[in-house]
Amino acid sequence: MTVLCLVETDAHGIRDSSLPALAVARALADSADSADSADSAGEHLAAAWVGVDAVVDGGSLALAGVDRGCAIDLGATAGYAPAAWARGLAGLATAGVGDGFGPVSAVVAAATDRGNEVLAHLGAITGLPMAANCVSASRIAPGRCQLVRQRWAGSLLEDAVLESPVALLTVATDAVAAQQAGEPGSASSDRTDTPASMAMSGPVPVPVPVLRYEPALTGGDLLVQAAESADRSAGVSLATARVVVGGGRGVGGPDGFTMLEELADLLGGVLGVSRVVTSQGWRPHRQQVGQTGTKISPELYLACGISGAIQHMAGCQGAKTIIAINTDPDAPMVAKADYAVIGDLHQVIPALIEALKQRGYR
Amino acid sequence: MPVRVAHLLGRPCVTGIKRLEVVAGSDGNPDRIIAGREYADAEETFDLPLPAVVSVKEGINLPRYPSLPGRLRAKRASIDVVQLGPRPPDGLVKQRLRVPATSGARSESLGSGAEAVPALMRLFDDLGVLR
Repeated sequence: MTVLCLVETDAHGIRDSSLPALAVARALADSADSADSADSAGEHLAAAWVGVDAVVDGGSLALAGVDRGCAIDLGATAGYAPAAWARGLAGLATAGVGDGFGPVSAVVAAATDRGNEVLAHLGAITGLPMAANCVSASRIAPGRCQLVRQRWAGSLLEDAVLESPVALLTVATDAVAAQQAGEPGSASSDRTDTPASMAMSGPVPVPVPVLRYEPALTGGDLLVQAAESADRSAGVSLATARVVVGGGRGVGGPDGFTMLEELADLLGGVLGVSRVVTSQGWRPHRQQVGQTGTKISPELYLACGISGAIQHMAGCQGAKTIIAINTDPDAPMVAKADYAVIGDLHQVIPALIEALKQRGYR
Repeated sequence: MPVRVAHLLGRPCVTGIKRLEVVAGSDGNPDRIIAGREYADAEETFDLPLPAVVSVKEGINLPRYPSLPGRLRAKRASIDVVQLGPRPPDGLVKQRLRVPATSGARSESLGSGAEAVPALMRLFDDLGVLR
């Protein structure tokens, strides 16, 4: 049996959001050990990605315990096409990922917009149930999985049982510790079903066989495709920023964000805002942090004048350290932060900017 | 759910969009939609023929709340009831909901107002965020 995990890639390799999905997929595969005595060594783990030219970090694959890579070949289709991606996964789930790997028992993906969408298409194509936003999954019997998943923006956890011949799961990107990424390597997919040595400089030089799979698409599968979209800026992105300076209603108006942007620049970070700020039209929607905005995972999140609604916390709970600056000591953000400054941000931020400038930051 | 509905209807679908533009065809009637959503730090754009199924995220617009006369008319509107046919049992069964465990620790106070700036700078140093 094999657990198949869809990994999203970019120009640098596997996206960070896919690493927790790989971790949960590996745990699910290992749990088959106790659930099925006939499979005492647990299940295999295969990683699937779209595009034969995709840059795949061999170190991350090896450290995540991947036994098999699967490059889905969609031919000339360059952009993201959700139904076509799902058709590729459906084909792999039906045909298997190679001799000796057995049938596919689960398909796992990150609970990103794309991961949730692709697995929803996969569920519709196959008629199988799907569970979204899982934080853990284990096999309790053949065809039965015990799940814990996030509900209501992560404010509640649901214990659930999924009964399905192939379990379809997406994994909350901020609730699971990702496997440590290895050094960059490469996984070749230029030969069909042939072991390809990964030219890795990392600590675990394991050869991972890579299957090149070309699904049979229907006309409708390519009806919806994403147009290529260039990054808005060549600088730091909100999703990957090391430091995010957040502003909420307490900023008071559009002019107040000038000082927050200056502080973000000094810290080498970017500006993020709460929903009320975008709803008021003070800042563009693309800067929104939260359940319906961007989910961030910086080293430091400096939340200024943000009350800390559940929907906002759903987007920032991946931050390693949260500092709240707020006039209200009883604000939820103050309670949930690691550190707090009680005071008016219009006094604290200018003083902080001045202190940074005195240290030579420009 | 929107994806399953789209498959049942045989219509194209895109989910979680935050921008929607209706494009008229050569006869002047709505013909296509351009839908956009955030992806990483960029926007991905989809071009779908109508009719299509879309699901939207909060922030795509401001809700238009019904007027009082509209609400009164709605009370008199007839509602068709459709009976569902037999369907297979759910494969996903909820057992219980629970509140996630927390550390219970309150945040550590760095002080009040601008007087907290030296403590903030020390914390930045400790965290290694200053480069």
